[in-house]
Amino acid sequence: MDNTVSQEKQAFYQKLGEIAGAGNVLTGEKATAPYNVDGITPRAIACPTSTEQVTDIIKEANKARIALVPWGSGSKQQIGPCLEAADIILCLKNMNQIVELDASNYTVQVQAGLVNGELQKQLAEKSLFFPLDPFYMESSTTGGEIAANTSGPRRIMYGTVRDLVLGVTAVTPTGDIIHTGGKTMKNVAGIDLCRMYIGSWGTLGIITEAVLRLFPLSEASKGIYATFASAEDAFRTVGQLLNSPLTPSAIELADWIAGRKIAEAIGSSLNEGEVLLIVNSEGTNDGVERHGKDITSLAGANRAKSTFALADEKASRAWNAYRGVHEAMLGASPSALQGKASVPISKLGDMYKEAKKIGASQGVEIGVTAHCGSGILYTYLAEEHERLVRITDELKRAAASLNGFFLIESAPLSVRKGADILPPRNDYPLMRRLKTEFDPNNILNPGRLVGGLH
Amino acid sequence: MPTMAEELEQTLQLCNKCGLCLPGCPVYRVTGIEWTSARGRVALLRSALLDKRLGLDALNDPIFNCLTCNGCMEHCPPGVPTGELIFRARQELLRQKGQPWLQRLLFKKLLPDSNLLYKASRLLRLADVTGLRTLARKTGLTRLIGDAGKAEAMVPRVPASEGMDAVKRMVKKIDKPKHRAAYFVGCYAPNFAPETAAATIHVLNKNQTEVTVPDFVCCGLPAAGYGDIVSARDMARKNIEIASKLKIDAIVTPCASCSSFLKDYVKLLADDPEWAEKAREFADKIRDISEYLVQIGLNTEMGELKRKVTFHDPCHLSHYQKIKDQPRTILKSIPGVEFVEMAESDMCCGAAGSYAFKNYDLSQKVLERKMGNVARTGADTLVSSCPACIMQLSCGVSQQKLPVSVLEIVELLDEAYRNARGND
Repeated sequence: MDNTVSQEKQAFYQKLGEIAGAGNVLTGEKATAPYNVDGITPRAIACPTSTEQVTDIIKEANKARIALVPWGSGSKQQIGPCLEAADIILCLKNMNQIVELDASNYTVQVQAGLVNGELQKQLAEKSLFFPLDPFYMESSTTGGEIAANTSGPRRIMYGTVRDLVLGVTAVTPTGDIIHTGGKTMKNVAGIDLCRMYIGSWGTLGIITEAVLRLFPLSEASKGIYATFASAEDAFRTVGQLLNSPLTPSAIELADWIAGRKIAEAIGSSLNEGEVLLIVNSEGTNDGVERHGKDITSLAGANRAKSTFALADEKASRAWNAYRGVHEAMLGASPSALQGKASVPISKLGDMYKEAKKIGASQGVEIGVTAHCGSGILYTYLAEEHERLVRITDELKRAAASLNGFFLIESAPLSVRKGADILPPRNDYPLMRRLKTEFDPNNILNPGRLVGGLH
Repeated sequence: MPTMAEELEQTLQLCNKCGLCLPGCPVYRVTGIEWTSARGRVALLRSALLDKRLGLDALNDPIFNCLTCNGCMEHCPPGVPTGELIFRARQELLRQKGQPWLQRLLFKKLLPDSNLLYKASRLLRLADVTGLRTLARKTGLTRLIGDAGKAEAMVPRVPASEGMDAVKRMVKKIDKPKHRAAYFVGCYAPNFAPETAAATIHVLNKNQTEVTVPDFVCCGLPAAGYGDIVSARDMARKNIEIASKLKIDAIVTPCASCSSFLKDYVKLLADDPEWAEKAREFADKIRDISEYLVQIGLNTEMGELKRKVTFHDPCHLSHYQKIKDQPRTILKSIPGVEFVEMAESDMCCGAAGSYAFKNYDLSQKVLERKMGNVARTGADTLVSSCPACIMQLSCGVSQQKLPVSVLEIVELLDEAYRNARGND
């Protein structure tokens, strides 16, 4: 029996070259080792050039029961529940073109392998931009961003993938091409399958194209960087800001552990216990001016230690330092863990306090950043396995007591393999049935979602 | 002695595989192949050294087709020093496989001796003047030696130069000098580009700097680039020794690669108790020409130059030394010059020392991208500050038939000073 399977697999590997073209299939350890995911090195990397090729590959993979791993730029492959198998990486890097830029309707249809940063460059020539700004946007692809439902600080002003993706073309795990949504703002008839693909982590199909919403470039932008001696003062500022007529485009926070490099970039420093609050605004010159003034005085009224208003290159240097915090904190130690708490917006200050309390009681330094407008708080810590599990259990309890949840995103492989990294929910059985219905042979990213959706 | 794996474990683990380096990697930009990117190379080194899944000898290509331009580091939040890792891996490969005779000759005999190097360069000139080179091309001899043969056209015609002696003769006494500097001439200028040496001395003189030209040997970078750290250290000690006898404020060079590596002597000799401190003192004196001129206050008594100028940042200047503003400050202060920024100005041109000779096709693809960016500026003058870049860019300009002249920054400055009214 094993022999038959391997013969089928053998036949599949041969067909792969015929479908995608020999030059678009990479084999050999030198080519495959860099794609090692969750400890598994794939047999080959296939880089199709069209939706039809993806379909053909998936149909053949079903026959031979080959596990396929969709891949954009790979920035999120180290996140979430571990894969159970990874025979072939299906990399969409060759599908990286703009299909149609419809400036008058503020939409763009793109192939899923187009890198966000590249898209922005081409849009900027038409004075447009796509507001999705995940930390990886210089390398992340549209398909990956949709599959991982990833967003960035601007979500407070423009929303997330759900609000910015109007349509998706995907190949289902059985090889059917489906077009969901479209170019119009209102385009759902029946169940919204387009949104089902958002955050599906490559388990329900391979996204090959998408229609995205665009906005005209702002006239001006500015960042206010304020340091506070106490986190309470910073969170009070956030509360008042959210309850004001102001419309900032990002409200971000970093504590003295995570914010060290940002503080350096603005020519300041953070002592133990201090936090940095970053409030960006963008829009018209007048509007940005008014935001800068009001936010500075609001921070001052809440006892900010120092406030810096940054524009142009200084702002972009500081902002890049903030955007790099996540990777810098993770890179600092091989035993680093990054977890994400999501709590009601008003409870964010409480979650911060809880995280610090847990760190103090466990004798471990926990670095924190937060998307303050969305109630999301990231924690960074480095410890040995057992203690990482114990500490994250406490963080999970703390988030739950605030009517939120905590999940582990990046962690050493042993932790991701062993611990419950996703929060408990009662809809997982339904999701499993959905996965089985879509992917009866479990060939797409097997194991990647909710405790192994299979 | 720790093994290489032990030594590099922590550094290799800095990489989270996020891929933010990808857009900064010139080779990946033209190949789209993961193992030619910074992330891919680090993953392969990890696989070989930490997981022991691969032998290092299987990694010859990924270790040697890295430009070591450090473009990746500009985008890497944890700061994975991919270039350093690659250099270290080359050392190890050299230890395992031994050194080819040509490299031994170059790094152990020619480069540590400016006189011998000059004699070798005259052999090349002989090939030029006797028509041997043309003959080699016509008979297809150059094609027989692979990539190096294809790149042969890049080697400039060797001028009639008298090497370091000629450079020394260019030195003049000046009235009331405010500064005293040693000019680190490097290997290229005395043998292939005496006009750059003349321009450097003239520009320094115009900035009230009295110049001396000591008998420095090669900075050592070419040897280190091939993993021959022993030869690189020998050359470093020689240069430090020579500098210790000089009464100077600074050691100045217009070659970005030289200044970058000379500053790195601190790291190179950090574990040598006898030389570590001397290396620090030496490195403190090293200045790139633009860095030096802006620091002492550039003399702006220049004549007008009607040129539209763009600047290519040499990797060893922008990525290694973080010198980006100074050359622009200088170019913008030349009267009449219209400065225009090119896209991806700090993306490697593909020269990377002798990379173009070892990886001709890749190097050409990287160069094509650069030439596209140059052409889009509409500039008539392309300025840089590194002989390898200048050689590569000149080759690109002539291949693409662009109406653009390629100049070292000192040459443009020299022209501006010569155009000044009342100039001698």
